[in-house]
This record gives sequence, structure tokens and C-alpha cells, in this order.
Amino acid sequence: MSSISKNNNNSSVIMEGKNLNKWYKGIHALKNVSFELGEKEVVGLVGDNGAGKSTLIKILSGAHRQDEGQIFFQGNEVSLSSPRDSMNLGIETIYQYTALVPQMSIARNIFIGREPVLFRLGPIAYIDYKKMGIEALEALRNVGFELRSPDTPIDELSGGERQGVTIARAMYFKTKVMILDEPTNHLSIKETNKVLGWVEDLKHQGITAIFITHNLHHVYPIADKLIVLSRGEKIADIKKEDTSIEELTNLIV
Amino acid sequence: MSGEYTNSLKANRYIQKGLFDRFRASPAGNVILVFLLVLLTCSIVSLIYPDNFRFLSKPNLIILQRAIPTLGIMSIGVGILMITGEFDLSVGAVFGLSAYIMAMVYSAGMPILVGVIAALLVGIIFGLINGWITTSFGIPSFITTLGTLFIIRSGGRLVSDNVPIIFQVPDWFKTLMTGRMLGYIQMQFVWFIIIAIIAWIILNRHTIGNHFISVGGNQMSSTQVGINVKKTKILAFVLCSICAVIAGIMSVIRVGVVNTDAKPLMELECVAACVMGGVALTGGRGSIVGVAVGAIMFHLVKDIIILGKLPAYYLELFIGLVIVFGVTLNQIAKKKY
Ligand SMILES: Nc1ncnc2c1ncn2[C@@H]1O[C@H](COP(=O)(O)OP(=O)(O)OP(=O)(O)O)[C@@H](O)[C@H]1O
Ligand SMILES: [Mg+2]
Repeated sequence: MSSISKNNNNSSVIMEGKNLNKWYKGIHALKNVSFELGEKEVVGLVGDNGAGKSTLIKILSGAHRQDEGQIFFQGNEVSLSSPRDSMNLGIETIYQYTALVPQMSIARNIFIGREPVLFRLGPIAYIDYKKMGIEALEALRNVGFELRSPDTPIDELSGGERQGVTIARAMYFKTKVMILDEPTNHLSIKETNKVLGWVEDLKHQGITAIFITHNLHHVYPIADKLIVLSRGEKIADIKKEDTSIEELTNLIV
Repeated sequence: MSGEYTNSLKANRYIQKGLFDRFRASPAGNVILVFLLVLLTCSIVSLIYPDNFRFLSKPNLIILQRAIPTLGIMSIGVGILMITGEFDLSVGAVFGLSAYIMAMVYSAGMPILVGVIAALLVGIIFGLINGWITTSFGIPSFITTLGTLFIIRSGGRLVSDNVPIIFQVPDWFKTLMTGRMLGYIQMQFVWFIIIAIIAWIILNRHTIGNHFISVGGNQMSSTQVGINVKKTKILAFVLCSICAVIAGIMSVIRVGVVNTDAKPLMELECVAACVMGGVALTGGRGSIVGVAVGAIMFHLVKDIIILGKLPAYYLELFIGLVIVFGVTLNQIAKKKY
């Protein structure tokens, strides 16, 4: 984790939310939340339990739909009604426990739903298995997994390594915005640092990252900007340089 | 590039664990090992005592090749469905009904291929029904297909009125499906191998196979990467029914008599073959080779019991033991290696 790049200040906006509202059976889970995400920015999304963080990212990832409000991607208003819609735009979401299929190999996991195909004949789509292996190896190299065979099943990997695979997948598919929901939960210090390193690398690959966590100490060092939610409302949206861990902690509690 | 990939794989396996351990930890590892041992033992004993243990005799080899494919083809369908995370207990009923439908259409004066298509349609419809009910209402497929098992069975009785149909299919069709090649090879077995190869390709080299495994392994993450879980599961149900239909047709044309009463417990024999072959009851794990070998093992043991003039209940005892110990063994192998 090297120094934080300073030239993000005037980066252009890649994604924008305007007056987003979401109700769950009477609970107002998201109240008029607006935000902007810059290109190549790491955004920390923090807040107490039930603040609405997961709700917000579910809307951005197409898993849920907002009840009110608009979403803009690269300047155009978009309608995200399924995960596929978001993925097609280049928005990739990583949920800690559900992102990968444990029984399948790393290579197969990277390419689920987007398998490289050797030939296609009507309903027949023959997987280019060899290419899948080679490309998976390449993707893994991006996150420094030199020693892992793409044939290794996911359930033989540690929690941090699994995050690595999902990050490798996002990098490989030229994701533009990557959403990570508590990627450092239940990880050892060493693994946490590794994951933080990868997230920081995303920026250098031109990817915007939204990093959701309870732990300010994890996100603060690598974030360019922090958004704080509290009971469904956005109560802060602040550049890292203009705040401190202490100030943010006081806001959240 | 590709050499690098293979090298890295080799290096990795070498570093992490021996090839043999890897093999044993694979879904079908144990059953293949046991199968080879049993096969070898039987062959040796049969060579030493050709008169007392006629395992390698031509009639015995023919009997085996006729018996294995019915269970084998059905189990392949059931296995694919189990890998996708669902069960089908109605395969035995579909097996019986579809063969009857084929015979009925054919006996009514239609060409045999029309009968086959009618049988396939019946299977596809029940596959769609099973899949649609299961996925639309979130009912465990164990329950859905338990229901359709009884419905199809009684529907079959209604259609047949318990009167068997006696029929003779055209020679070309009979030869194609149940003839013999080179004196020793039964066509049923050839079809079984062909279907196993197709199933292997579907599961391992077709995108849909990748989706079967991923839906069975983790439905949530499959949804997140944009896979249509409902469609994928329904397709697996349909493939499963199609396999049952093929097995049903194959099993009646040689004898030329069909009733809708399928052999009871067939559906459970399929599950047993799959479990022996290392298919996980929870989905997401299993191999076609394992399922095929599981089905072969089933009949191999049956054959040994008959040849050895042992009481028939030994078969059930063996199957029971294999299920309990086999699954335990697989579990241990998975943890250990
Ligand atoms: N599917 C749902 N149905 C009903 N209420 C929901 C649902 N999902 C979330 N909620 C409610 O919406 C509010 C916001 O929840 P959300 O999961 O977005 O919080 P969060 O910030 O992610 O919390 P945590 O840090 O605990 O993950 C909570 O009050 C929660 O109970
Ligand atoms: Mg949450």
C-alpha cells in the first residue's frame, strides 16, 4: 500500500445516483440518497448496522430496484432490473459469502455465465476449456496468485484468496465499477492487507471501487472519498483529505 | 502460453498433493478404484475357475451388457439433475409410461419413429411439469416428483387398463437399438456409452453444464452472475426425463411386451448408482464417469451374487453398505486430501 494518488480530485463522474428511495414493507431503508462516483476512485461506504449500505449496493448491482430516484451511468440514465443489466454496463458486485461456487474450480468460477466458447451452433455452445484455463491463469497473475492452479476448487482457498479470485474476475472482465460488500470481514490481518492492496490496485487499472465495511481502519488508508449512511440517510460525503478517522467515527456512532 | 499453463498445473499438483490422492479425492475416484479391483478379481477368479465362476463367459458378458444400460442411462439423467441440486423420483414412472406410449402409437399403425417421438414428448412434458412446479413454487423436488411419481403411475394404469401390449418393432430399429456387433458387443451398451459421452460433454464442455454445476453448487452466486436459475433447472429436469424415456424404449423393444408397471424402486436404484458414483446429495458435485461406473457396479455385484449362487438379498445388503460407507469414505477422502 503505497501513497494515495492525489490527482483524483478532478476526475470525471462515472456513476451517479439521484434522490434514491427504497422502502421495505414500511421500513424506509434509503432516504433520498444522492451520490457521485468518480472514475478510478476508491469510495468507502460506511455506516452502522442497518444503515442501508447493502440496500444501496443491491440497487446499484441490479438485485433490487429503487422505489424512487434515478441512476446515471457515464452520463446516461440507466434502468437496472437484473444483475445481468449491471454486469453488462461493467458494474460487478462481490458479496463475501455468495460470490463463488465452492465446489467449482477457480477457472470455472471466473467464467460462470461468461464462458469462452470454441464454437456455437444454435443451442450448442462448446466451451473453450483450454482458453478458460490459460485466461484464468492470466487473471490470477494480476492479483499475484502465481502458485495457484486454476483447477483448484474454491473450497480449498482461504477467505482472502477467495476475495482475490473475485477481484481477478472483475479485473479480467474489464469492470468499470466494482462493489465490494465487507470484503475484509472475518479475514486475518495479513489477508486483510492483501485484499486492501488489491482494492488499491483496482484504481491503477482504471476501476472505480465502492468498499463497504464496518471497519474504518480498513477503508480509510485506501479511500479517496467516504460516504457515511445513517438510518437510510446520507450524513456525510467527504474527501479523505478533509476528514479524519476520529471525525468519521463520531459521525457513525 | 498453453505449455506454461500445463506446466503450472503439473507443478501445482506436484507441490500440493500426489496425483493418486487427487484422483481419490475427485468425485468418482473411490468408485472407479473399487470397480477396477472388483473387475480384476472377478476376471482372475473366472480365469482360474472357468466352470464354477462363469464371469468371463460370453452369455454372462451379454447379460451384463443388456442389464446395465437401463439403469445406467436413467442414472445419467438423474445424476445431471442431482448435480443441478434437484431430485427426480418420477423417472421410474416416466420410464414405464413412455415405453407404453411408444408401443401404443406404433401398434395403432404409425411408423416406429412417430412412436419414439411421442414417447419423448411425454417425457419432455413431465420434465417440464416437474421443473416448473419445483422452481415456480419453491417446492423441494423430492416432494414434487414424489407426487408426479404416483400421478404418472396411476395415469399409466388408466391408459393401459393393465393390458400389456405385444408388439414387434421393425428389424432395422430392433437391430439398431438392441442388436449385437462382432459377436460380443450389445447395442444397448454402445448406446449407453454414447449417451454417457454426450452427457459428459454437456456437463464439462457445454456452457449449460457449467451452469448446472454452478446452480447446484450455489444458487445465489449463480443468480448474481446473471444465470437464469429457473431455466437451467427446468432444462435439467427435461434432460433427466429424456434419459428415462430412452431407457424405457430400449428396455421393451427386445422382448416386445410392455406394460406401464415399471419395476418398483427403480428411481431409488438410480439415486443409489449416483451416490455410489460420488454425486453429492447437496448438488454441485459429481461426474458422469462416476455415475456410469456406479450403475455398472450395481449390476456387477448383482451378477456376482447370481454367479456365486448367493441369496438375492445380498445385493440389497451390499447396496446399503456401499451407500453408507461409500458416502462416508468420499467425505473422508475430500477432507483428508
Ligand atoms: N429484504 C428486506 N426486507 C425487509 N427489510 C429489509 C430487507 N433488507 C434490509 N431491510 C431493512 O432495511 C434496513 C437497511 O438494511 P441494510 O441491509 O441495507 O443495512 P446495512 O447498512 O447493510 O447493515 P449491515 O451493516 O448490518 O450489513 C434495515 O432496517 C433492514 O432491516
Ligand atoms: Mg449489509
